[in-house]
Amino acid sequence: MSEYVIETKQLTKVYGDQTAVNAVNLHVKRGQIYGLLGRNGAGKTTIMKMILGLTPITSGEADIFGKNIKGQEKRVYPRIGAIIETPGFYPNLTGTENLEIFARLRGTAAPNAVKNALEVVGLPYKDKKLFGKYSLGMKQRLGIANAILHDPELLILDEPTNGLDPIGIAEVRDFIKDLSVERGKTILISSHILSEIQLLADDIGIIDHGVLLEESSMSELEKKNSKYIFLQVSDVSKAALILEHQFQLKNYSVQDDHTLRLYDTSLDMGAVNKELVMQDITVISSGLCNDTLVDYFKRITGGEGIG
Amino acid sequence: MVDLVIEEFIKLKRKKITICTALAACMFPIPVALIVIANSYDMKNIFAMMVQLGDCFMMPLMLGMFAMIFFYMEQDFDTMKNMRLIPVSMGKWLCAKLIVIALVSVLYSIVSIFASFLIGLAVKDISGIWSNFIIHMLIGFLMCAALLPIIALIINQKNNYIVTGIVVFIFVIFNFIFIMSITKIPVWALPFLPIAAVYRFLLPYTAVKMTIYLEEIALSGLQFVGVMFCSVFISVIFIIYGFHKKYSR
Repeated sequence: MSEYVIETKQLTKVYGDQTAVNAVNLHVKRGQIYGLLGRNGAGKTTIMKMILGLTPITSGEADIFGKNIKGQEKRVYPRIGAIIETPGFYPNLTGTENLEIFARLRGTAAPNAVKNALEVVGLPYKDKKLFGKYSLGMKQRLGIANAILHDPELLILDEPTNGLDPIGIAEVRDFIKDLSVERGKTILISSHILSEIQLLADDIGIIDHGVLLEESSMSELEKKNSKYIFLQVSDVSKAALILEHQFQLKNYSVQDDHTLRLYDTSLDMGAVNKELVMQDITVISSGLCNDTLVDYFKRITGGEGIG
Repeated sequence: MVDLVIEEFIKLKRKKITICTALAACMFPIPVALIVIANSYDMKNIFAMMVQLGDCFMMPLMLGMFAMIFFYMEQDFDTMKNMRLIPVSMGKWLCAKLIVIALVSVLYSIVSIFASFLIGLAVKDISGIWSNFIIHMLIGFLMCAALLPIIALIINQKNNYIVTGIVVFIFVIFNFIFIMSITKIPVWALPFLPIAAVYRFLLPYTAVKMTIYLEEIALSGLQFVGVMFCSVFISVIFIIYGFHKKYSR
């Protein structure tokens, strides 16, 4: 069994002259939450649509459960639940009636599948309110209910917290986390809100103008971007030895031949500088850095626009 | 397939077009009744009027509008992606849609014959009600086939209600003009006027009195089958083409 539930290879989508998605290599691990982060219009939804086969791929491949979805729809789709863009339902029917249609078409065997799904998202069962009268938040919740109705292994959620109030966002976040941690579901979630991805995702992919700029685990990314002491010296190796032996510092990283990052910001830098100078190591510069993920995102995408 | 047909019917719940179609079927006979009572017409006249005005004008007009809204629903409400992710077979889904239209057509006919019966009761003449019932049911099925060119247009159009609505209206009016004027139309032209073709075929059973002229313009069984086969065949090709273009991955 492949480690990756979703794997794309050079996935590309071109509309006329415009390249919406450019050679994306995405890897979503089994049982993990993968956060696809990018501004509006970055290509997140297009990637999800291509993965699901809702829009044709210009070039490249997208595999789900180790297989190309084309020709395997009947086998693969029952294992997937998805929300893509705004959830689509019939406005003349209630939420329950809408879900019952899709449950019956899916052949969902569980007797209380609709009731349970509505309970999970906090919507009333057998309510008389028509979908056409729903608020944006209620529509989004119904979309999530539809995605989880048949207890799928893989969830692909395109901005699922869009339109929800802060309490709703927190509830959906906890629910998504629970699906992954307690029930071992694999989840691909997209958002333009960094804080949401930061709280949810195990792995993160940063996309901008259709290009996947970075793909790493959240812990790696946070390590890169937490508070640290920036130290530029003439001899990195010697400096590292001194830090380990004299100051018992293990939590650091070597950036290049002259630069170290020290993640223990409680270090006495005066003492460190003195010791390095005594050992004939030139301290070129040092200082405290306070980079955030937002700053990191802005740095690698070259601009604004992330929440 | 049965599940799909049921689900397609459920989607029509509370929709205004469903209510309008039902109301049209129930209320249209009222003016007919007024004319019948004012002129003391018998059952034959009642039936002939119901076929001409109800089955060959009102019914295809209402069904055309109904089909337009019914086929545009999934794109209007963006539910196509849900259907695709189930996945629902597009071929079966198309068949389910067509079956629903056929059933609505038959239901409309049943309401029509019931209305004829009530009018007959009012004028104290319900002779031939059972043969009329069978003919109305047959008209219901045949009118669905006669509407396939409209359905082909609906599927091949992007969701353009104005253009499609105008074309439906023109199509029905055009057919109706040829029905009412009882003009001699060459048989080769009838595949493009399938409603008129249905009327011409059923003329011996619906006309108040068969004249020599009406006998000349009535279609024989073979002619009718040929005409409808051409109309249905061409329509089905366009329906399949349009559906594939619109909904294929």
